[in-house]
Amino acid sequence: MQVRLTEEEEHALSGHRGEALRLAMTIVVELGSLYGAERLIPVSQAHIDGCLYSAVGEAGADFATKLASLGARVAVPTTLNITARDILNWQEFRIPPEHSENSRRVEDAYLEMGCIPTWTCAPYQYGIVPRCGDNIAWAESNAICYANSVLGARTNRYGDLIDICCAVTGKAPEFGLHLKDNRMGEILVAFDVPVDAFDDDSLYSAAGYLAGEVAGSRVPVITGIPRCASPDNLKAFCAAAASSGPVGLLHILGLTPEAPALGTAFGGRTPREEVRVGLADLLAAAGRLDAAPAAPGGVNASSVVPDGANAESGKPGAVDLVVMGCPHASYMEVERVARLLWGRRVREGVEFWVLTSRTVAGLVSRSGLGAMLRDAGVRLCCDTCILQFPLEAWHVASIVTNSGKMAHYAPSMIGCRTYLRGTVACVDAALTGEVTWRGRQ
Amino acid sequence: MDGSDQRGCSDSRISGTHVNPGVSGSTPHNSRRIALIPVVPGDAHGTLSVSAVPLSFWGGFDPASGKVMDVHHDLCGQSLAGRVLVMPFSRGSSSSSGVLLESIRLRTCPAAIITQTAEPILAIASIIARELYGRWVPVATVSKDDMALLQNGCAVDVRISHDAGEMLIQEGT
Repeated sequence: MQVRLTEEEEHALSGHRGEALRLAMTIVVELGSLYGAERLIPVSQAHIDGCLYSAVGEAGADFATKLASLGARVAVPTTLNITARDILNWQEFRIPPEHSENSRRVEDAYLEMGCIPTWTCAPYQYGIVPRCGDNIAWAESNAICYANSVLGARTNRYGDLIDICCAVTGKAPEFGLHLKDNRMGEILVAFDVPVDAFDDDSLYSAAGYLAGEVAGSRVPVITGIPRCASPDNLKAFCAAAASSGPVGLLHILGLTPEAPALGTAFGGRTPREEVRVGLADLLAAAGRLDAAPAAPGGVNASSVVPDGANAESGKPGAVDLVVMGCPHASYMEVERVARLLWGRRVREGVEFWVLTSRTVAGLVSRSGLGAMLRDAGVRLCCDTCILQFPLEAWHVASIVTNSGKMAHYAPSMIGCRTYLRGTVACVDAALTGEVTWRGRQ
Repeated sequence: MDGSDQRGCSDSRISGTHVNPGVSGSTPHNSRRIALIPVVPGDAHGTLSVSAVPLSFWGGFDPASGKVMDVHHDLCGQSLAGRVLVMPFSRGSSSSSGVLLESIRLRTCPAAIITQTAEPILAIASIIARELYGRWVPVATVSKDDMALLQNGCAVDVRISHDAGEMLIQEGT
């Protein structure tokens, strides 16, 4: 398929406007050609995930430094996803100097190209926020899902390195989720769960995880999610759905802009499949996210006998790291932790880390919460994620988190026992050093 | 022996009647043909690693070793280096493009990736790898029915051009 180009785009592609633009345009056009795009469309902004050294490695460093050295500049406002270190406090987190230096090389290349140093995986909360209907070129699976679903902006699931090519050209190929026809619901996922079950906020993660598993590569329309779900709840939901499946767009009836009614969400069509989800299914999904690391030889998590907190034994499990802020915590989430902790200290021997952006950390510091959290024993880890730098120096054997996304990836990437619990249970675990089983249900 | 399903490749379900028209050219006598829809053109030869579980390369695959590390995945612990990976679709992180690109650089990547739906995250690594290193992972899609015929451990040849693709399964492998 030949992508029809404007005269300006042809000029860029032919190299008349420099080698950097030629390279970026070549890649954008090639992607369009492979996916049958008829033309390129302007994007209003980009979000870059390829700036993460621990993911892209030397190959990604090669590409970024090549583009930067050719003089590439972003053509649209371009925010940056997390990097592989806390840029200011990498030593506090015992990040090896070599890792920090590798990360810096890639950071510098993107800054040289004119990107905005947001260093956050939640750019829709503290970044440049697109409008409903805007075409954008975003990478970072949770941000893509949030931007499409909650904001109604339009982006494909762009991956590392095409993101910067779209930013430099200011263009994206018109296919997939940029086109209205492809944004219609294809499967109904109906939650029939008591509203107060969601008082345990980790169940938003579990619900998203389950929706992603069920939907697979289809666009799900979801019903039965409480209308009082906050942007942070929807953030957790989208992040989990984009972990268990390739979900770039989901609709939640009554909550997301393209789903004011079922008919609208399905584009007037009848859903080809309907899946009903009860409380037991939801709790089972949450249970799948309580996972052990793979045993030597690659045994699946589910086949490993749980050695920690579980409903069968009723025993609490020991925990040595409580981690919140995946995706990056909002001010409100940090404030909630501070309120729950008020006047108490994290138990000796337990680490409590909240991952967030430098922007939120600034607000936290200026509001006075920063000092209070520090005194309580909470560390704010900024610009990055604990999955992106070596944790060996911390000897983490088990973590508890309120994030389905973190719970999904941590057993594989850190090799630790992982528990998914709500914010209240996470803070409680920080105070006691133990995580309890999900008693309520 | 890597623990994969080794049921053999002479399953009677893979028969001429199931074979869709593929690209032109002769099929060797002792092989069966499955039609592929091109995404990223290229040729490959390798052994099939088949899974019904989608994989996120970021967080699920170690580019240094070429092994699957996702504890939620049935291929966990197995190497994909030089394998023809077959799965319904990819999932998860958009950093998968970067991880796959790095594995292409390190030559620990699959020989080809065959899915039912191939999202751009998979194709992007190949587009950029071709620019940077002059080598890449061919990508194609396969119908759900044909995917059900593919079994772990079979030796296959994959040929993907711009407008057609095929997988030749060698009998008795």
